[in-house]
Amino acid sequence: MPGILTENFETFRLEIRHFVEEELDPISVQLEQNAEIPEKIVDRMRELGLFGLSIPKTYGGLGLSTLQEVIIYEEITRTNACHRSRIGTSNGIGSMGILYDGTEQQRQTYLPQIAKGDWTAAFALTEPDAGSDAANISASAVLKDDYWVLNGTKQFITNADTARVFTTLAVTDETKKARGGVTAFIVEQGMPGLVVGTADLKMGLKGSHTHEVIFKDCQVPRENVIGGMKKVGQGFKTAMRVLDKGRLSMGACALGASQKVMELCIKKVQQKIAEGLPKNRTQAIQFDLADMAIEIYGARQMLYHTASLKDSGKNVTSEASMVKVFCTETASRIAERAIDIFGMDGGLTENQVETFFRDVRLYRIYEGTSEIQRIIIAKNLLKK
Amino acid sequence: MNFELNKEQQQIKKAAKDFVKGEFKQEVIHDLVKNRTYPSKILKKAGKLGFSGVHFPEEYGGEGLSPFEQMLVAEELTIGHSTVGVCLALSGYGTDILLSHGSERQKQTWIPRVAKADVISSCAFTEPGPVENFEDYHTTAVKDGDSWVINGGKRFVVNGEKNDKPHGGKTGFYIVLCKTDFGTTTPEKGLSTILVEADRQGVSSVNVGNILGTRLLPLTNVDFNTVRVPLENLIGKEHEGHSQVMEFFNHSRVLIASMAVGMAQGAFDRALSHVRQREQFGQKLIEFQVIRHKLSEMITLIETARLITRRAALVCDQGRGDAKSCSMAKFVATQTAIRVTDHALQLLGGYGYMDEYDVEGYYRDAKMLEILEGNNHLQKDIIADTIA
Repeated sequence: MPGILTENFETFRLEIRHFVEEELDPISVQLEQNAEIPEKIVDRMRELGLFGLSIPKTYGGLGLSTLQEVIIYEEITRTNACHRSRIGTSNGIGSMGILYDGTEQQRQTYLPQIAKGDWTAAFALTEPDAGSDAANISASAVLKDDYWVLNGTKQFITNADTARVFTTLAVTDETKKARGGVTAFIVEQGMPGLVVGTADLKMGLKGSHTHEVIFKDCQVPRENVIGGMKKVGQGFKTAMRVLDKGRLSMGACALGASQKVMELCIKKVQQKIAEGLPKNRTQAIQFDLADMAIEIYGARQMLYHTASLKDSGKNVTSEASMVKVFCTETASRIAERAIDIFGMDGGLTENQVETFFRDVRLYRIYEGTSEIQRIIIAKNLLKK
Repeated sequence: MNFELNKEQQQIKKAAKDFVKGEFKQEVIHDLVKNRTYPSKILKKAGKLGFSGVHFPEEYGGEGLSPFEQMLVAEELTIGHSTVGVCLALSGYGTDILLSHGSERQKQTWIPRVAKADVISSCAFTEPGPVENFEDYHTTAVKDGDSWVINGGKRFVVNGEKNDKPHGGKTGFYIVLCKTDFGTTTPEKGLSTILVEADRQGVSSVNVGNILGTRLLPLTNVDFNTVRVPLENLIGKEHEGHSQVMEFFNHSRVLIASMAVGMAQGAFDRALSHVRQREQFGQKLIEFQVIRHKLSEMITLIETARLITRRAALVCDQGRGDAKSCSMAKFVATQTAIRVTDHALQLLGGYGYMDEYDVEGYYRDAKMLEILEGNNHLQKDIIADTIA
């Protein structure tokens, strides 16, 4: 794609590929045991600018286009998924609300710090009773003099342990709720009444932590409404726009994982053939590999095409949902087949496909389940 | 043709269900899972109540029922909890080889102890390297005076933890597949099974490490370093090891299929109770048509898998050793378990991904059952061999 993918970008992409292969992949298995990304790796991510992929240059980021960003995501997910998750919220759901709807002052205060990786951004929307039905949130914010007083419980909040900035959604008008009664706030770690709970125990993404985040009479300065006081009640729109963007990123993550899993399988099959697996027992796995390649090829075209459309200014709400469903479901199918190809070895964490199998399963759930994506697609199809 | 369980079968199924209800306490199970501890206490109780020796003859301390009933129990146990259920259902792993081929003395010595769950039993069949030809078998047993001397190593040995720690489970003996004839060229003619007591000198084991699923099941690599056992530890006749193991796998694959059916059902039950309670968009999840259809699909798949599995279990009862039926059951049931547990996880959404809600474990365990004792490519190879 000449013209869009410049020589500079290609250099950057290769730099990330080397970083993944030489620095991330070698610690990927160990990461499953330690469940913690070493800080020196996070420092390298900061150096490379990985926390500011999507933040414009004027705010200290790399200002990548959507297409460029998904390609970088695809590169960085060709290893343990936790690494991408560490930078994911700062590039996406945690910061984009501030970029899209924040005041100039807010952008200048937060985005450069986020882009540098000094401040990790998180996104606090989901609640115990408001998952897919995000409009059903009940966390509340009440204005008292110069402060908003926030109360409520958010759950499954990615990177809550390292986050300095939480883009937080709360109800400011109970009668209107999502239709003009939800407001987006910038809540900072250290504000009184903000409590991050213990890390959730979950199936995968062991090195990336999600937490309950509790607001107990949490005091947030009046001016911390994203976009200022005129944007009170507009937070649900902000949240939906933020999630809309994340769908392409999720697709890219699933695609990078799929690609890596296929490569691991190719090596395994080559090894099996070299060890003398008879011809009449290799055809089925050859077809498995072929199916992986077909699905990856299809997924990649969808993703790149949709990212390009978005960069050209088109509305891609439906297409982004399609990309998320197709890429993430593809990743699950590929990981399932990969375990079969490896046999019992596939069950061992040391062989990596095991970790991919657990990790990619999350992509079909968070930032909008596959079901929510299908609802969005169908709604748009039937719209008169 | 009768698709109903008889009265006795209904009773044993209910007894197993009651046992699960009484012993699979959620806090206890979560503790075991969190600390990766073998469910020794629950197994001990299972042994006391006869669930560890359902199909062993009464003279060897069993309940004197058939494999069909054993598999009914296995299904109930894995409905109760997937990885704990697998540990209990496989506590006598390989003992069937003793039952079918062992000497009277071997049977008298070991089967009652397995039935009471004083020990668990283990099979050491899988060579560390790829096995395509007879020369790829490297574990050997050589006669030396009145002993066999065994050297070699095996991988992915179920119940193979020699010591009580760190994952627990007290292994009584291994059934080791050894090369005993060095003049022949085929596994069918040159392999034998030998009983090796776990406390023999030269036996050592190491856990395979972090693994996808069935994490409470002691899965190990075992080394045999100049292990001496008496000649009488040979099981059955010399050089018949291969056929014994193949026969065992038939039976065992149906047992795995039964556990897979149980996992599918257990995940389904949990998902059903979740969608009945959970409200989103102003209504219970179960009121959404797409979710109702998903549930219908799941329960239909489960019923299909259960039927083909029970049919294969009946074949085992009749002692026909029908590789085709057994492989078909394992193929369908494990595929079903993966599909159904995957759907169940999705129905729970974010909760489905969390340890606390169990379903994620069912999904991982189901995948393990698929690759245990041959993935589905192998099952299809076996089925094709019988029809080609």
